[in-house]
Amino acid sequence: MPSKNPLLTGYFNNGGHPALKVRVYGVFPDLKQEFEVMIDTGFTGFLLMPIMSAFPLGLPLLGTGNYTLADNSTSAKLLAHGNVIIGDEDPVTGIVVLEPNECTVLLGMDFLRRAKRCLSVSVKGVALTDEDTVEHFLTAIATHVAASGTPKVITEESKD
Amino acid sequence: MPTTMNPQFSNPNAIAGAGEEIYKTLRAELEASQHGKFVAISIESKAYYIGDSPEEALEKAKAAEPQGIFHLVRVGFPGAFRISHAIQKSPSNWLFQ
Repeated sequence: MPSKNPLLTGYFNNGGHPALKVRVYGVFPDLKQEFEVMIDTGFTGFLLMPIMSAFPLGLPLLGTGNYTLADNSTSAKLLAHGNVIIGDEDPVTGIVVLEPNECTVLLGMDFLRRAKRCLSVSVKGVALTDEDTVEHFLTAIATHVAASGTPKVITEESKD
Repeated sequence: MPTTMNPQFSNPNAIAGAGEEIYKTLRAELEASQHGKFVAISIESKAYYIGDSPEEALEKAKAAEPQGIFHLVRVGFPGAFRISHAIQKSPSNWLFQ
């Protein structure tokens, strides 16, 4: 099994949203195709893509599920099984929401959870970090803080 | 989906509608004890499969009924998924009517 890359680098798409190139397939890896996906933390699912883009990938259909939009309306969508690959990583399997209209392909929170990745976004770029690496990093900071005493909190009043 | 699918369930809205009708009969029981869990409802057998994630519920459902058609519900929520990004609402609804 290949080792997990601790850092996967994304970029900002034309709309200024965090994005990434991924490959998607269903049952047969030979059918995989590359897509630019927008990483959307407001989407609770795994992957959402237009149904027309999904046809050539051979994703096995499972049924339906409703999703709730920002205006609280709900809409029934077809659901399928799919695998997502980033770079040289192992595929991550999840539920793909099939959108009947043309739309941006979205990678949601369920993907980050299943891939055990932590999303970092700054003006300098986009990174998907291995969750275990982040945990070790945070533990090291907490240990350092504990050893050096309570961190000083700088406020507007105290900074001068 | 099975190749001999019931023609009544040949479009997603019919599947979702049938699933929601079955869910109405289960709602009180599930909302009392399974809030936040995902439930895959078999449209034909009316059996349901509970999981902590959409994948878990649908994997259990597929294992029990390999040819089944399922409607996914999140207990206590209007939709199984939530999306904040603007997606164009379907003017013509579905490809399969």
